[in-house]
Amino acid sequence: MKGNPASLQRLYSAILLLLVWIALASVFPPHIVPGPVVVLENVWENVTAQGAFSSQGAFFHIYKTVLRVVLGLVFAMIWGTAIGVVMGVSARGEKFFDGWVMVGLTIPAIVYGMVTLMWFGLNDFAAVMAIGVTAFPSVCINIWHGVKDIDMQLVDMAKVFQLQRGEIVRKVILPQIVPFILAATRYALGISWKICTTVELIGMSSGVGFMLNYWFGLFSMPQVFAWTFTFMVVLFLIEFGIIKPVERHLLAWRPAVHV
Amino acid sequence: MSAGKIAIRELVKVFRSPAGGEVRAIDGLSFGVPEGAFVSVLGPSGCGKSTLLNIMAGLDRPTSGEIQIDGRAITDQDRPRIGFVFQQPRLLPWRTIEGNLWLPLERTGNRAAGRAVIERYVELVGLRGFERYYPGQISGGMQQRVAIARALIMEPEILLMDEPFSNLDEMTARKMRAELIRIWQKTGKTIIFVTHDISEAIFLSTRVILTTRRPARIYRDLSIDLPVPRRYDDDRLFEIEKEVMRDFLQYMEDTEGAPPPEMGRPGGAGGEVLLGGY
Repeated sequence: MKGNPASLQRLYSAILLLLVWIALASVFPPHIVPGPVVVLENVWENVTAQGAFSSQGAFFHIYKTVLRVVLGLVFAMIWGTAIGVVMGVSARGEKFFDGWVMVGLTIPAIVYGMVTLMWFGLNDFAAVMAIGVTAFPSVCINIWHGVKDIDMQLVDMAKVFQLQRGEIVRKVILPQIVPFILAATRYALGISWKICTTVELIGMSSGVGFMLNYWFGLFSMPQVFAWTFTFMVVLFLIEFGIIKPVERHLLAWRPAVHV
Repeated sequence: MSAGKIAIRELVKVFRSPAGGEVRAIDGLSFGVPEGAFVSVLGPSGCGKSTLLNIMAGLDRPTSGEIQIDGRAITDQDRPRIGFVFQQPRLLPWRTIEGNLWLPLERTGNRAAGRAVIERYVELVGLRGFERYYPGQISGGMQQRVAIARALIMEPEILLMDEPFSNLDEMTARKMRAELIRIWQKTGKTIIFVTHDISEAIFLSTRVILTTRRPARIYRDLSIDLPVPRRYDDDRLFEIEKEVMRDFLQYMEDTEGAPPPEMGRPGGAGGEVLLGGY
């Protein structure tokens, strides 16, 4: 894969998506499918409104959601990595925890939201806990597989060349798990944002989910689209501004990543 | 046994099989290797050759017996510097060729000296200009040359090679063998070379040790007193190879269907106590 054709592919697919959107918007009225122009007008209104940075402004809600998502993600990454490593290195650990992970995966995210809101009250902590617990199993599974995938032949090689335990972990094992950590992050980010809006919708008085619910109550399809679009932009910024560059830096050795 | 570079005494290795029985991989193997020798260990596949190298490299412990290098027994605490070339290159794919060669050197910490050493070994294995490439960007033969350079770079006391050319095509393998001989002549390292390829063993070594089927014992110990570097079309090599091949095929035929590798339950078959220490 060379750089150019790949980014062209991305451009084509974006244009196609836009055309489909425009086509649908031209067939249906704005309260069913608002077109790109209407949606962007609404976004623009929201972010340029007087008090957009105030405690009820658009940026405040975006900030709240980002904060909850990031804290929940960090929580899920820490615990997911810890338990995933234990499951990967020890057969006993695997047997002990795999039931937990499966249960974690099958419980609907909204249940976690309800339970944490009832336990901890309608606050950020409850939201962060709900996100963390929801995203945890998928982080855990990724890391678990990553650790099981470690090439023991390379570890043996390092032992023969008399590297110390710590060196083996840092220089031989960690780099092998990095792709799995990145995959886990990306996956957990998507989950976190979805559960965050849900929790905000059922129990918060701020955040993107709260605003979506607000405009849903007023039956304003353009605003529902506008807020969804706004947060998509935020997620894209995280993906292309943070995760992708980190990945490109860490995985430069993998030919497939030379996008 | 005369005081050589390596002395292997009554080495025994017994594995527990998953079924609860025992598999005796090595059964009382003893031989000595003088400094600077190029010894091939040749045997049927699955005969415990690799186990011998793993024990020498400290990846595995013998059930009984010992291995001495320069008169010192190999223990976990006191291991001599050993260079190891595996069947696969086993390079770190996220490090460049240069970075891979740094791996055994990093503990010494001297960057300037390290860089000079790397330059010398890159030159030695003919990879100048490829220092910044990643393993995935070079051929299998080149990767294996990097692995050889990595094994030599920390000035090992002995060099262990476990079928290092068996994954290469014959033309590449021939080139690599010639290079190995050149490097051996240049560095004077003591080399233990494990292979199942009779002509490769005879072409390369000053001595060939043929082992029996599992459990490995010495079947035949053969000196190859021909000058190196050798030529593939040397009739004397060919004569030796023919004779060894005939002898060994005869042995394999005679022992076919003989002792199964599985030695039964603990304390069974052999009658000896093999489960001591380890």
